[in-house]
Amino acid sequence: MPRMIIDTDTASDDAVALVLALTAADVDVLAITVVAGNVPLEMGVQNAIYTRDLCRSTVPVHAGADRPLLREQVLAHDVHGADGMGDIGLPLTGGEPAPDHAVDVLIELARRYPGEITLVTLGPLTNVALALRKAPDIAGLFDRVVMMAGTGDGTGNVTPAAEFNVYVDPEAADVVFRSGMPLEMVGWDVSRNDATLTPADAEELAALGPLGEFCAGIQRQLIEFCRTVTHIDGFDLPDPVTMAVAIDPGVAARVVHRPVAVETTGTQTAGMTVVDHLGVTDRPANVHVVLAADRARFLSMLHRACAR
Amino acid sequence: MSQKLILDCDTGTDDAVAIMLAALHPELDLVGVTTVNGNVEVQYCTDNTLRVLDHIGRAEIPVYEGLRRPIVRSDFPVPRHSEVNPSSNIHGRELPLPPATSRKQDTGAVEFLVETYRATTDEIALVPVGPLSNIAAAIAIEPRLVEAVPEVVIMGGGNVKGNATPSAEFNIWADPEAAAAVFAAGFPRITLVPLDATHQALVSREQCQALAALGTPAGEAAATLIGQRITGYDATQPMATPGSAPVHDALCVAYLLHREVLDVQRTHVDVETAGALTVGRTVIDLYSRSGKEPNCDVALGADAGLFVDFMLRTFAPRS
Repeated sequence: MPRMIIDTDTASDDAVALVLALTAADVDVLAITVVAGNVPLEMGVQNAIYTRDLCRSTVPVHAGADRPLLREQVLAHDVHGADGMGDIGLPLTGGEPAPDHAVDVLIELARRYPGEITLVTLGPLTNVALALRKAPDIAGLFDRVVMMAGTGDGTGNVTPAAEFNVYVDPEAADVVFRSGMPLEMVGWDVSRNDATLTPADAEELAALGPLGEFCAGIQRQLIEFCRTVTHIDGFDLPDPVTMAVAIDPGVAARVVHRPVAVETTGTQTAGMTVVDHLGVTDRPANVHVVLAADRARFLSMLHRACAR
Repeated sequence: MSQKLILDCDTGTDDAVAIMLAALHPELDLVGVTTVNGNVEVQYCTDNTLRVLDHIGRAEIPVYEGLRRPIVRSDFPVPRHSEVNPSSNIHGRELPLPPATSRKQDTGAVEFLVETYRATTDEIALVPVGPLSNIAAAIAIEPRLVEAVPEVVIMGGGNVKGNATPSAEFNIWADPEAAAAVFAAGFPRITLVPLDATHQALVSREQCQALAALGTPAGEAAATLIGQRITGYDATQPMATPGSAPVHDALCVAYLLHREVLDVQRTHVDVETAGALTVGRTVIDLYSRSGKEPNCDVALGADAGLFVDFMLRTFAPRS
């Protein structure tokens, strides 16, 4: 059974990704490592613990980096709500994280299961970058690294050019993109194009049971963001479609192998994933960039999980 | 009444097709052509422009030579002409047309732009299809140019793809400060035609044969020049449909008469001038994340069939 570590800044769409992984019969989640991103670290930890418990899982949740490597923290309460989970009144307090620091857990598990682990990153890449700096050998120890990060089409969701996870900590992303890890990137474009749920889709999901109700209900603030900013009817699910690709590579409908680098210095483009689509650089391809997902396959995985 | 325009070119192969369209279409009145360093060094741009106009019998259209360098950078003379690999040569230094007999004007391009727009009472569209050095210099000298130009149609930039770097298109990358100045200048109507649109208006070898079969100097020249582009693109940057190439600049001319040839979206466009990887990127704010007011119509789609028909009709023999 494939082993998995999930690194997450747990807010409303991360939670759905956790549900997908924790309910999958054929995935062995070793640890959930939390990073500051959508919400402050402690809030992300509580959201992850709440979601884990809802899935009746006992996977340890470890707290990691509480801020980006260099930059001022940027949060996404406008996207996910004051509690990061849509402000629907969930009791998101009192959970106890496991003792070890997320960065040490990443290193320890990578070394314990060399070549076996799929690392799924759903937030800023701060924890992963710190782990690479502390233990450079782990770059070669993962089977796959599947990231919700950046955009394959140049269109950002936090600035015109940058996607949130990379924008928040571009230096960390730069470390990871240069690391030689076996990187797969699912950008916001894939979510916007192929992982949207209409209000009717959401109702259908909610009717499947408690997990469905949870996954649809916590998107309340995201729906507002989609209505006013990204003009999506309903909402899109970046982290869940990334998780779906990690669990079932067949969900990725179009994948290209490209040189990708992270802009860390632009005044208008910081945090942009620069994808060389036309082969105008001599840099070697370092990332498998997912450009399209199989929406039906993704939705059926989501339904299976929510019906549990 | 015909639509007056000035073309600002760094004349390589696609500029040449744009010039022929603008010079020959009965509803267009090409007031003048200004040249700028870009695809090739400016003196070759000028010479190529003269060759094109001579070849199609429109030598009376005046040609004004412009800037030989970007307005700020000394590290960007960067003509795209490649002497290293002739098979990948999308432009070449000299176009494959007979040497010109006509000559450029004594007046420079920037003076011509400033004086023409100061004096005119007509609406003259400005169509820059090379680096924006001349336009930035002209608005620096005469800021009221912004009010005198009713419409600017720019070939440049890209959202999904870049062709000079992974994130930047050549025209904008070749003089990013000039481009930033133009987008910030306050022109009432700018249309940006980026790679996202031009890569949808591809011309095939079969369509080149149809152009050649017109039997006119322009049809034959267009077939030769676009054929050279197809060979270059196939060797270096194959398009989604191999055996075809974009003819970026010509699409801008088609748009002046056929608005439906482009799908445009109104948004804010700025130019990155500082990024280590992204200098010269057009920052296109498709989801209004910058908080800035729209300043531009950006073309994100193009109708290839309409575009090719426009070329075939414009280059057909006149009865």
